Amino acid sequence: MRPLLAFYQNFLWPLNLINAACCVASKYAPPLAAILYAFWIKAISIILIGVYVEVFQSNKFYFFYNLGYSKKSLYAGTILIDLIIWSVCLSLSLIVFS
Amino acid sequence: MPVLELDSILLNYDSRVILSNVAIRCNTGEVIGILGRNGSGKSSLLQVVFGSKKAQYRSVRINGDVKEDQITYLPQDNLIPNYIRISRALSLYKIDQDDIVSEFPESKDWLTLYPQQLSGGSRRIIEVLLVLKSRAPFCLLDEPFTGIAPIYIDKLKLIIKNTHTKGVIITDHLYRDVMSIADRLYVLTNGQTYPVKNEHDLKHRGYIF
Repeated sequence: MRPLLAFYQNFLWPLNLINAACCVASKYAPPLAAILYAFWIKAISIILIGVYVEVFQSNKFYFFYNLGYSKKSLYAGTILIDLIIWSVCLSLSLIVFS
Repeated sequence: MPVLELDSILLNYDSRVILSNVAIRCNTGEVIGILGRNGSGKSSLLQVVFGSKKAQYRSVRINGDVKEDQITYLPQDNLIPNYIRISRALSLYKIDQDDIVSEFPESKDWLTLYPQQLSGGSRRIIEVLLVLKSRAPFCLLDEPFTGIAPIYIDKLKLIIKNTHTKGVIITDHLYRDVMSIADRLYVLTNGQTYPVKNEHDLKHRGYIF
């Protein structure tokens, strides 16, 4: 788990900036629509960040490969951690703004 | 005692053959040197062995089985991401800091720093030590001596040579340094490995004049 968190740290700022944007956006839409918009913002941003990393940074994963993680497991772990943070943040902001 | 065997590696880029007839065996406690001109496929070979580069065919076995997680790899480029402090990198690799400092006292002041705060040579030294001290029984070192001062290269060579619990496959353009620590030496040319013993053989294989 620690290596996955270390890998996630690489994307901490861009991913959580999107999370923050989703939370703020939820203030201006009805709850169901807010969840739907936030989901698509999140999905598209994850794909764009993934493509950027794959094109420009994929040769920087050896540190984690040496720890026994494959590229798939690194991406899957990062997306899982990010979706958990996104869900918690979005739920809290929906509660607060409702 | 684990044995790493690689053979039948086939790597093509379009119609260009990069690796076609490579056969190397590495026991723990052994240092295998691979030399070759620029673009001869040394890095590709190490990446194929490590499993990060897909080859048309490869057979890499440890004690007869496929166990890729028993190999660590030092790439030509930086290994430790810039956002990971050296001490944390050691911790993630389950390496005791004291172990590193006792082997390399100069590294004591580096542990609290981030990689980009180190000079290129210091960073490389730490990365070599990280791979050498990791738990895997085999490690692949791609140009480990790049940017390192001669006095530290000698120290690293001593550490590599005294790493009896690991098998090391090393490639570097500082061929005399590689030759001085290698138990067996190969030249990679035209996609094939040829065993060599001395500088005369290297001349014969067209690696040096």
